Amino acid sequence: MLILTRRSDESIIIGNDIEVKILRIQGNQVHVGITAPRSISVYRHELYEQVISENKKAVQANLAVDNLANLERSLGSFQKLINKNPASEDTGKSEKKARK
Amino acid sequence: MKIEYENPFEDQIVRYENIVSQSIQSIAGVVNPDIVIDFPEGIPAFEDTKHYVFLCSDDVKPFCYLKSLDVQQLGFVCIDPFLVCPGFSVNLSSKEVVRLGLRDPSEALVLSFVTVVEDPTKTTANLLAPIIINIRELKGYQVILDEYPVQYNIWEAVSRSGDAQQEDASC
Repeated sequence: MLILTRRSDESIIIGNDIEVKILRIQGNQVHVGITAPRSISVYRHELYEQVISENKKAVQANLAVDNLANLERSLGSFQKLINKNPASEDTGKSEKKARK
Repeated sequence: MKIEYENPFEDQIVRYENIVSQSIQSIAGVVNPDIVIDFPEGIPAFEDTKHYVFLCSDDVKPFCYLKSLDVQQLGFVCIDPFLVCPGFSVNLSSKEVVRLGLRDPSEALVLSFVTVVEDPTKTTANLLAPIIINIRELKGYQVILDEYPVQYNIWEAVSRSGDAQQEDASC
């Protein structure tokens, strides 16, 4: 790992088009500003890890409930519940306008 | 640590609030095993798998299955998050909107991955990171919203919405 020392208002360039700037240091918190092309996603690491782990679980769970009949039975119980409680469906559909 | 975008378009954040709840059957054009959805960046943890199709069956409605064409056995059960979480909304920054190529909120199909377990009452949906598909370009990304739980118990939510109808934006 490359280790660089930076102060407030100093930055690092990665490649041609990614800039990581130290904006402010407050106690044990560091405010970082990132300028990157739109095609590059920037996420907090722990959040990204959570998504990776849940994606893996979602797939593993599907495989564990391996035969499709079981899966359908499991999902079928939802269908019944959702049909019984159409309230949740109405709420979603009543607001058709997306606000800009 | 807080990461902030220095985004010149910061003031143009698009608020996708209560996007039309695109129930799976209403997007018949996309839910078709012949129509391939391209995930240019893959899906986190499965970055190399970029081509998927939707499979649906009346038996499992309102769920559908997003199946990989590249890796056999890889697939995700999905649900419309607006259906299980009435107050759900998606706020996309202009950066995300450009990445997704969305011209209008109606082009977005939003789905959450479902973690199916044998006990259906413990089934959860990933509201933290929904899949957003541009149905015009047939291009999808998993977007991290940072507002909702990664494991949202949908059984409890659906039961609750039947009991307490006055409840709003509870998730």
